[in-house]
Amino acid sequence: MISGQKILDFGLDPVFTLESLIVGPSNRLAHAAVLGLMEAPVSCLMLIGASGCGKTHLLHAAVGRQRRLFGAESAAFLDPAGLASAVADGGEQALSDFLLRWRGQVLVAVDNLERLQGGAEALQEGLLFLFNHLRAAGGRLLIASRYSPTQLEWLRPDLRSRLLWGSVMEIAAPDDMELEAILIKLAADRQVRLGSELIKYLCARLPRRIADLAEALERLDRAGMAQKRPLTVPLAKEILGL
Amino acid sequence: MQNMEIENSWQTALETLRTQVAPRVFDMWLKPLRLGRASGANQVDILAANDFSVQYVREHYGALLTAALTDAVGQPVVIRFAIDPDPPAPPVLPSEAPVRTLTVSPSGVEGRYTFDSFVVGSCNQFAHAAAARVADAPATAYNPLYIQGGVGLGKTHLLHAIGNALLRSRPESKTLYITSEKFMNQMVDSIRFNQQPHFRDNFRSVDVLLVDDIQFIAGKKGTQEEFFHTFNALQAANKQIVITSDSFPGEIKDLEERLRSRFSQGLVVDIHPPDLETRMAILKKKAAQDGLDLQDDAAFFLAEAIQTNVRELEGALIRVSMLASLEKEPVSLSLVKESLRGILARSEPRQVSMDKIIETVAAYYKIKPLDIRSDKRARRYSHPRQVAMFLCKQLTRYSYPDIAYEFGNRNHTTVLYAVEKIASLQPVDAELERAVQTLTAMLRK
Amino acid sequence: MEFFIDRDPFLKVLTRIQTVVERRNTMPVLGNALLEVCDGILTVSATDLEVAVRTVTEVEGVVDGALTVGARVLFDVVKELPPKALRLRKEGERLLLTCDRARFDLATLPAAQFPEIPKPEGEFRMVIARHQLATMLEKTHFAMSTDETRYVLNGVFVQVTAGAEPELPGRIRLVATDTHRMSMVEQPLEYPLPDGREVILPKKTVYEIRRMLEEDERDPELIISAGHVQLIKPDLSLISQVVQGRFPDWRRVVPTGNMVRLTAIREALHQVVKRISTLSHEKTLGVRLIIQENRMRILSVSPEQQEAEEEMGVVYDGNVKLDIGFNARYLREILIAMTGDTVQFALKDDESPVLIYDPESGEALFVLMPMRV
Repeated sequence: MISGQKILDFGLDPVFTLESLIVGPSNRLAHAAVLGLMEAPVSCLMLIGASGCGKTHLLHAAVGRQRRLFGAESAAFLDPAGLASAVADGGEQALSDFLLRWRGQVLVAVDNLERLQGGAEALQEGLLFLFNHLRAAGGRLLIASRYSPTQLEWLRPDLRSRLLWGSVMEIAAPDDMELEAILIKLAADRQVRLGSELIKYLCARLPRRIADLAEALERLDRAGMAQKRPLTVPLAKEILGL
Repeated sequence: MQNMEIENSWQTALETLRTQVAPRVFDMWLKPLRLGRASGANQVDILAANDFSVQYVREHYGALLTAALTDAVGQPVVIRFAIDPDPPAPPVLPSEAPVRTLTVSPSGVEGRYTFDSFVVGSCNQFAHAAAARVADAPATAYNPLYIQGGVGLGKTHLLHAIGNALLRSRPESKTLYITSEKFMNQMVDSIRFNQQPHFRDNFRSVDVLLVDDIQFIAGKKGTQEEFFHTFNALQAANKQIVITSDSFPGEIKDLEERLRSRFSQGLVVDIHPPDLETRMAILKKKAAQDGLDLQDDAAFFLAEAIQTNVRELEGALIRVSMLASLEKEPVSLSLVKESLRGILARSEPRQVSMDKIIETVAAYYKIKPLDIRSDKRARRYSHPRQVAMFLCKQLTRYSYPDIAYEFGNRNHTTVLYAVEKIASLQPVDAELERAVQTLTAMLRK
Repeated sequence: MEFFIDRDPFLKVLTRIQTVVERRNTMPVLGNALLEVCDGILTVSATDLEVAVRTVTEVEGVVDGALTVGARVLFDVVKELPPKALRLRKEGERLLLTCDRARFDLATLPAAQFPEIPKPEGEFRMVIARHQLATMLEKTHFAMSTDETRYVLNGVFVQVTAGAEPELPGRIRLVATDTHRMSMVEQPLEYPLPDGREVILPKKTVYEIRRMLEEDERDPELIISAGHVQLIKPDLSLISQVVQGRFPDWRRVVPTGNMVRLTAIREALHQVVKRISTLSHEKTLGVRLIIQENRMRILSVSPEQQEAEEEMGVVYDGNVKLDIGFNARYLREILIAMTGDTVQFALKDDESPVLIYDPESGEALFVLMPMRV
């Protein structure tokens, strides 16, 4: 039965802390590298991994920890989506403002580097300057990207070369047990409880990508809300057509 | 039950569990559990780090835990799972003091880059010789010295090396290293805070000015103007200027002619990409500095894999070193290969780009791609928009939030709704079905 | 253990604990009530490990002691007894209950097996007006979710905040939602509060608290600690675990761009919706509201194509006709929870959230999602 009832959109408010991160074989090294970044002999750490593999989570967790230890001004989280206008024209004033705004931070995390593509020359220049500044001053840049700098053809060569100067950690595809745990974490972010039967069912049938799990769970969640039905295997069969 | 007793029972139970589940399960889920308060004769709290661990352990291992603890205690026990209010701090790698504040030395010169740590090869011997000469006797020959070289070939290293040599041999003279963008930045700041005289004095009173990456002032009029005057003032006072750039003076776009000619007045030397022999030497030297035992086969593999760039060569070595310390393994050829995973370009299976989908759908419905990305709510635009969203979901591997981002940073539930709507309408709407089929065929070509 | 107690007060106590007793029988002792006699005071407790109640009654004690006995069976026995004095005495592993010439020999389990009920403790204590808490729960409880997989919504979110100044009264806010509708009510407290707290009361606890507040006029004390919430009156205390989780932010779903106002007589609207919904689909309970120029038609169509329609006068400031559907039960529950003479709807279109409130009072807000009818 398709319910015509519309549902309130409370939005998602996932918890991005180190405690809530699932650490397994796929991200063990990336996790360790992030934890040790402030002490590592590099200026930059890049995390490379597919959509939904937990890069954003790691970035937020690193920024959160830095802020908790050394104050709110010690770390910043940037997303190119929110920065496009920051250095819009690439003029001296805009670039200088950009640097002034972020250069006090000891740790600057930049998410979704791959989204910098197209019309963002000024922002690339800003990032390059920020890198230079952080390197000279002993700060750290933590970058997440879906692709390695060598695969981002549009990246300025001088920025690419600097990114490859630091550490690059690849987050692999999660294994079965991690996927299960991640599914539970995704459910916890939505504040819903999945029975172990449903977890097994979903993990066995869904594509083995976190992004697919997240999407399936979202559809299931919304259908459950609209129809006021608990999240169960029969509902999953019906909604996801598995 | 006494606390000691229950703590002992808990440890016994854990040991039992260790033999009952896979080691990975034990390490991931059971080992991190902590014993909380024991209340009453037979109720104990078991604490996990977060809400989903609580849920997972309760769902999957609740019965097993209860049985193990019941055995250990010797009477029925009810376990209550709860979130640990005070979880143990995550482990931190053994370290020096963590970075708290940012500091830059007044001269801007970094001590680690010296002539000693610079590897000379046929690719850079002229630049090296010129730099050494300037460091030996500044402002006597080669003024300005202009070092040209591609990205990451060691220009910055040479600049700092000059700085370090001078700081040691002539501590009384004022040496300043600066990147051109920092010059720009300080200039803008000086205008903002009305401190232009101070800014000018600072730069015009140096004995040796080392300017890195001068190409960044391209297109920046105010900075070029200011740098021109700084340059003239220093030259008039017979002070040494060393400049690096990724391009020759004549190749920097949007650079004033008067600067171009001044940059070319002294000596222009260039640095080429290092040959295999030099790359090997660089790796060996750097590894020795870092106390890393790099065997010839591993060095050779790295030097072969990264051919163009000294900086990336260094980066690769840093990754090897970090990986070795994280994995607690010696540096071996296989570790080196492992460290390059993800770096060396791999070819991803080609997929249709979302740009292409939007363009094609717009053309099909005779509207502009911009209309599809816009917020316009008229059906003339909203319907093609929903079709385009649907096709993006069908033909690419992008997630809903990715697609939402591509369509003007919307809420991804909009995309979810569009995809489900088009999917459900297709079987009953022949026109829509034809459109989707045609578009899919066009895009798959 | 031995004591005498009159049938009526004993029955009242046993009635009180029945709803708490664990029915699923996961642990036999949870089906029992704990009876403790000490210095002429009988304490009766029951728990399902989520909620516990503890009642205190004066009795004529002979021998102090404690035991547990089947809560249901004891209730069934006492219910059938005449209003006279009962004598309860522990004999070996049995409880002997006598009244007149009737004699009951009941099985017991040792008191030591009964789970320990946490003592009232916690750094946060406040007295709350009985009437206030009862009214606020009345305005919110119906919107709780019943879907157990959505555990954070299976309850009422309670938030108390300190006054803006130390001497100003604090505020209390209750929120409940099942994602189809949301109730939010906020009121000033009678007393200043030094600081605030947030807690999600489980559904069963909400039910028990409402029962407890109906029993007499006394104001209870509310104690909030890390994992528990407790409501205390001299002869009765209720201790409950709280829902572990983050309640969604109610502000995110309160619409701000709804510019069209619809005002109606609350009771009249309620009666119309009640009548018209008799022909609604019994599962979805949809009714349509068609509003144009101060007239509102309310319609429903049954699955068998039987139709109902009624028109009523309203005040409507929209320029265009609005045709919007709602679940009739949701709409009625909101109208029932409200108290003023009039009700106002802030609307945008037929698919955006609708804000419903009493135009005379800003205390309660209801957000209702439309449905396609």
